[in-house]
Amino acid sequence: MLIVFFRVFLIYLLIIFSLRLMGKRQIGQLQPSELVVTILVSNIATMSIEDTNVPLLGGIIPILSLVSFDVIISAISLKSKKARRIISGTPRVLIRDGKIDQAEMHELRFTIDDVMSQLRSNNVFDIQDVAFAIVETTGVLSVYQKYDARPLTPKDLNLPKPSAPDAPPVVMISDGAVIDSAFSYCNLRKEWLTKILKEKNLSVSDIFLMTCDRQAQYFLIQKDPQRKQKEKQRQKEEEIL
Amino acid sequence: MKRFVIVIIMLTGILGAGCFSLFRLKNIVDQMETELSSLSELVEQKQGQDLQQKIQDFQRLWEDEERVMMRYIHHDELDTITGTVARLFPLAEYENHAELAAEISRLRHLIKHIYESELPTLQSVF
Repeated sequence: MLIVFFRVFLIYLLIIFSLRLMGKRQIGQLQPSELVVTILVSNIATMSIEDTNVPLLGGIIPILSLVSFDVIISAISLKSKKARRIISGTPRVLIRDGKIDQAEMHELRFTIDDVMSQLRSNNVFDIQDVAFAIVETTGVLSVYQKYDARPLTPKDLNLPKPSAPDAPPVVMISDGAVIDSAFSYCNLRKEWLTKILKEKNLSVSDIFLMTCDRQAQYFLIQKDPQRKQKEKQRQKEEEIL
Repeated sequence: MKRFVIVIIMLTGILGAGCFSLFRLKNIVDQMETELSSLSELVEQKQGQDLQQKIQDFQRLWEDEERVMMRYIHHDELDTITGTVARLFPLAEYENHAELAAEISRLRHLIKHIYESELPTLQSVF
């Protein structure tokens, strides 16, 4: 029993290290070679955790080797366009000027449902609004809408720019805890927060969420005083069910 | 670039450790082979006292090596050999020389098989 526990712990650490080594891109979008590595790593990890007859090195070495190969392949495809095309494939144009390329669709084994679903996830509900739809090497559909179907932007209306337009609000208080880095981002002092809270007759521990931007515009949500009671009630309901 | 360097170091480490383990395994197999050959000779000569002493020495040698080999060799194979090694002394004690000879021969085959299965040949890879 304990052997399995220690094996799980070691393999867990190893996989975290491996995923960090493979890079952030892994988590969001997998290239074909990266998908292979992810599937294999999960299988090898399971095997070496379950079967105590296999030495732990029998799991560690293949995982490290796979990750190494993946990093090498990534480095090669970064340098060579030809290698990139062989390893990851090329993006394919699926829709041109509102018309679906049926041959391409057949070759990619995309169904109409797949295309429509991907268009909808890009906020496009009418194929005729699409200027270009490109299937990326990760399988994701990128959509470029026709001019008259594109959403209106402040640039189209020549609207004046507000100060710090590209600085989104950040979390300043999260579940009763102050996030110090938010002050330097917003160019504010802690005294400002104290003043705001005093005006509202609140303390930091009363706040569930507070966001603020560089113009010192804030948004505040107080903690629900009945949260704990509701949680307990929900637990009871679940137990009954 | 940093990742690439880490990966190259890791792969060099893996390949180096693999070669070293193979080299060490070869030495162990050769040593065991020599010991088992001398045991076979003693069985043929039916030298009871010497034989028992030699078997005990062999058992100790195997236990030491097994501990190291457990880190990189499938445990089932090692367990089979350990089981066979444990049978040697009682067989010598009760002077069952025919079965003892057979077990020694089996041990030689099993130990040789470990090295052969670890060697990266076309047969073992596929």
